[in-house]
Amino acid sequence: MARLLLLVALSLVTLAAACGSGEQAQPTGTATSQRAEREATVAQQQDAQAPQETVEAEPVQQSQQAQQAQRAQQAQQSVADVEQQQQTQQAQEEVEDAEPVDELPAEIVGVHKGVRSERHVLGEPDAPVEIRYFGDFT
Amino acid sequence: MEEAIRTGLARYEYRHFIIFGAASEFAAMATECAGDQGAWWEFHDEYLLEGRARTFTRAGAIEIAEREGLDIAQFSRCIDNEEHRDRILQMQQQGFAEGVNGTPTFRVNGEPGGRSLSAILDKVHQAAEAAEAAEGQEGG
Repeated sequence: MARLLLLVALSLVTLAAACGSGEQAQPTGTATSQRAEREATVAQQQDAQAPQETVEAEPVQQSQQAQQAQRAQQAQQSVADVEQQQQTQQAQEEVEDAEPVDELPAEIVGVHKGVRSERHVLGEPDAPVEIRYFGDFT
Repeated sequence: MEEAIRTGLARYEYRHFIIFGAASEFAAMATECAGDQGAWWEFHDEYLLEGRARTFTRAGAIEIAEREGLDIAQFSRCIDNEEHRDRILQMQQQGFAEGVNGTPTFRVNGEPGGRSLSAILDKVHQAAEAAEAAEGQEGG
């Protein structure tokens, strides 16, 4: 009987000890869970932050592309300006190369709208007044 | 101005002064090619007075030439070979030499004639009076 009582007492002590260690494990599990939550939160924040950084990086990239496009456009404009200057210079040189003339030769004589006409000239050659018109048809 | 020309008071001379590029140069050359066949003034009127921009092309020039009864083969050869290019450049040079820097520019007996018709006519009458006075002095 005494052995039986001793055995029961030992069992109770053992059971009590087991229950005590189980209560101590609970805070550890809670801490792990809280840590996991924090890590998850940080991960979410990092995930959320990463797209934001990508979004923030895009304007820079766009800006660089815009600058490159602007530089290319400026380069093209410079080339066009140089070509135009060359063409203008060439036209001026052609004009300067032409032989000087005092009077152009009179050619086919006819009548235009009732008035004596030659190439470039309307009217009588001995008229006291000469009206000279420098024009461009377009 | 037409009356001054018609009555023998003045004669009118046209000089090409190209400032608007290829179309202007083509129109000038086509007019000169027409001049080879006695139709210079017909082209002048068509281009300057009528101002039909669509005719400042090869096809447009040939259309006018056909209407004026010109020899189209000769006319086409002339414009394709730019036969009067030098003549036009010479006129341009003459304009520069006379101080012309734009169009339209009028000179009346070599002097600036102004841009309005009334200003030009005033200059014509002044020049006619001056010429008459000079002639009177020579005769007297």
